[in-house]
Amino acid sequence: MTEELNDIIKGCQRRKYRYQKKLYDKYASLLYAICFRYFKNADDANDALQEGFIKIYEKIGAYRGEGSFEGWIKRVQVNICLMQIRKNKRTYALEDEVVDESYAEEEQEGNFNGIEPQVLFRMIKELSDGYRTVFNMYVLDGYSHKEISEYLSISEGTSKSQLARAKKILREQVLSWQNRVKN
Amino acid sequence: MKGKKDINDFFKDGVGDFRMEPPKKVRRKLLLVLLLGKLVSGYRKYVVGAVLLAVGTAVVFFSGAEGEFVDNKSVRESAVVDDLEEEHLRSFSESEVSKNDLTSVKEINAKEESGREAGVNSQKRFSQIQKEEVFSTVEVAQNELVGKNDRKEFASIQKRAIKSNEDKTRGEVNEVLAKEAVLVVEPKNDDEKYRMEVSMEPEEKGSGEEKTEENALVEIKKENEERDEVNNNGAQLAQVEPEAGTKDYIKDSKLESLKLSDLKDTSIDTVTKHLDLTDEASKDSILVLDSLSPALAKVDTVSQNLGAEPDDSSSLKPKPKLSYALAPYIAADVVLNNLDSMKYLPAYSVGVLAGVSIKHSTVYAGVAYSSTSFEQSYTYSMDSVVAYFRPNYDVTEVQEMKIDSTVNGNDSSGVWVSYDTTYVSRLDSSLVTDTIYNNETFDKKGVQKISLNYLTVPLYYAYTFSRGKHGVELSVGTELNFLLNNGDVSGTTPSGSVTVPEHATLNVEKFYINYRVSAAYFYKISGNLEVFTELRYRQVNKSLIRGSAKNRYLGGAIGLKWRFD
Repeated sequence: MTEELNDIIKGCQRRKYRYQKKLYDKYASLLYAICFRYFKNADDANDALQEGFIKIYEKIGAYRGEGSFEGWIKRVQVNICLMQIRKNKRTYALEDEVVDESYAEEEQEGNFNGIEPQVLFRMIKELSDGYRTVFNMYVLDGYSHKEISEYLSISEGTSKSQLARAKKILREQVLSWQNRVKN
Repeated sequence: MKGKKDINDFFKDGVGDFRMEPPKKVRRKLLLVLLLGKLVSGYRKYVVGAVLLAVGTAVVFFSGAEGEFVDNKSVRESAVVDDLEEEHLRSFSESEVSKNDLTSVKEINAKEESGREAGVNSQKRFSQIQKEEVFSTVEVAQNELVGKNDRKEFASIQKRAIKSNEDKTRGEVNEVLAKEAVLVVEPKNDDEKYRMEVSMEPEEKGSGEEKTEENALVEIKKENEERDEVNNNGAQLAQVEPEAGTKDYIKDSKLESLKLSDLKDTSIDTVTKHLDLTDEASKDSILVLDSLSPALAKVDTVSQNLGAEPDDSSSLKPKPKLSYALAPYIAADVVLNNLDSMKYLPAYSVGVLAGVSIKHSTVYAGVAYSSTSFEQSYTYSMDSVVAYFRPNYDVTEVQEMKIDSTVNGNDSSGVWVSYDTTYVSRLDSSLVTDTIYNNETFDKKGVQKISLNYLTVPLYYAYTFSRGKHGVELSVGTELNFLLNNGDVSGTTPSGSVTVPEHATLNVEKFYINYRVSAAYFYKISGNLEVFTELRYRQVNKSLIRGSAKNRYLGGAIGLKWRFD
């Protein structure tokens, strides 16, 4: 942890306005990207970002320097997004289905390169709510299927199948994009 | 970005650290909320302190003619403020003002109030419906669910009960249940997790037949064990309190109203079992699962969850801690209302104060030696005999012979021939003095200086607010003064001798009370030691010298203060 970050954390723990502002300026863009991954609606993402920072300021006193600070605030923000989704009562029609084992192997293959992060980001946003949430949680935020099933009150099998579907769609989009660029 | 075989890694590397600038309005709003919260919480004590001083001063001034004392009780009541210790100050969620700001930031308005009420009404109606038609079945199931803490099993039982009575009980709750079949599982008490509404699990739909209660219990038991395992591994997850409107919130609120707060952390079934011994109606309201009610669903969960949050040790106010202070000081005051015939000199005092502090309030008592002096002019008359010396001259006439001789220059005989003798008169004077004696009366003016020494006992209440090493202390109180002696009375006469004219005897008060308000600035030299300087106003309740005016003093003091626990 850099000294600057250490000062910011300590300042925020002491409720210093100046340091809270610095923390926002340093991490707002990172956390906003997380919010936008979970919400299609910009208003929802804005709300989630505000709530996330409020919670970070509130709970930063409990941060003892164990583990990465960036990882900690990312996890806080993700949880806030999940809570926000639940408050908005988004209903996800997640149907369980048999996981296609062969697909699970196929998805590993591919030569993916040359795509801007913004494009990838947009591809994720265009997924349906259920696929997007599971994909975000598993691939980008590091939750296990077990944890996802607990959070979303679904079975692990449902979580796996949702992820597989999401990855399939994204893979097709990536390959399609690459072909377009080549041509 | 080099080619990635695994699409997971590809997206993770591509989007993992992707950043997006949020709209400026978000930043503005958030920082404004932060600043407002900080201003209100940080300067609230100054505002209260200023109000206290204004009230105290106004009361003293307006009641000064009669020497009435400011009501200590009213001063203390106006000075009571919330706990302002820094570790207790939170940005938002523990402060009502900042919570309200949060509410405004999230644009939650009165609609949710009505939504909340509607939700509660729906909840009540639902519970009533259940009680009448459905709950007879559920009750039986409940009693058999001893020790189970999973809401799911209750929901499945409830669903069966509802299904069995679908002809009897209709209403919006049952319609919603039938259409959406959504299950909401609230977070566990000891583990804040967030669950989302999902459809009923397919395995339940595809089973084709209802499971027996026993099978349901076994399955649920397994799931509970799995969940506990996940909970133990989820230590790093950020904690978020259960929201108002959730089952836990409803349950906790109800438990509080039934004075069963100790059951908050237990499962609903245990609560139910307990409530079996108490109140049927209460049990119904606790066990309601109207998660589908749109009105309930609109309940704002963050902004209103102030008082009913599960106990969080980090938000507990620390118990007030007593501390003590010792402060020697010296002070000087000047009198504001001197009279022509009586001129008060500056009063001095030296003493020591002892104080007991709790939070920002301190009560001081002390002892001091004070000296008040004044000069009084007076006139007197003196009789005396005055001697006058008048110079005189005696004049006498004296004749002297004057020989007139001439010398014939041609006569060489050397014989002088006197031709004539005359007599000349001259005056001879000598000084003679006369002495005259007169009796006269003189009017004289004198000044006498009188010093009065008192033992002073200050008693007052002070309120302190500080920032860093600097601070201000406002106080109101009283001082009791006991005359130690009559003091020195000295006077002067034109002759320079020290005498005590008759009218120097004065009626001096042996005891008086003066009221005081003051404002002191202090600077912390070290952790326990402060130096302070004080501006103070005092008013005596009666005149020190009977018949003269009631004195008003304005002065200052300096001193040191030791604070210790």
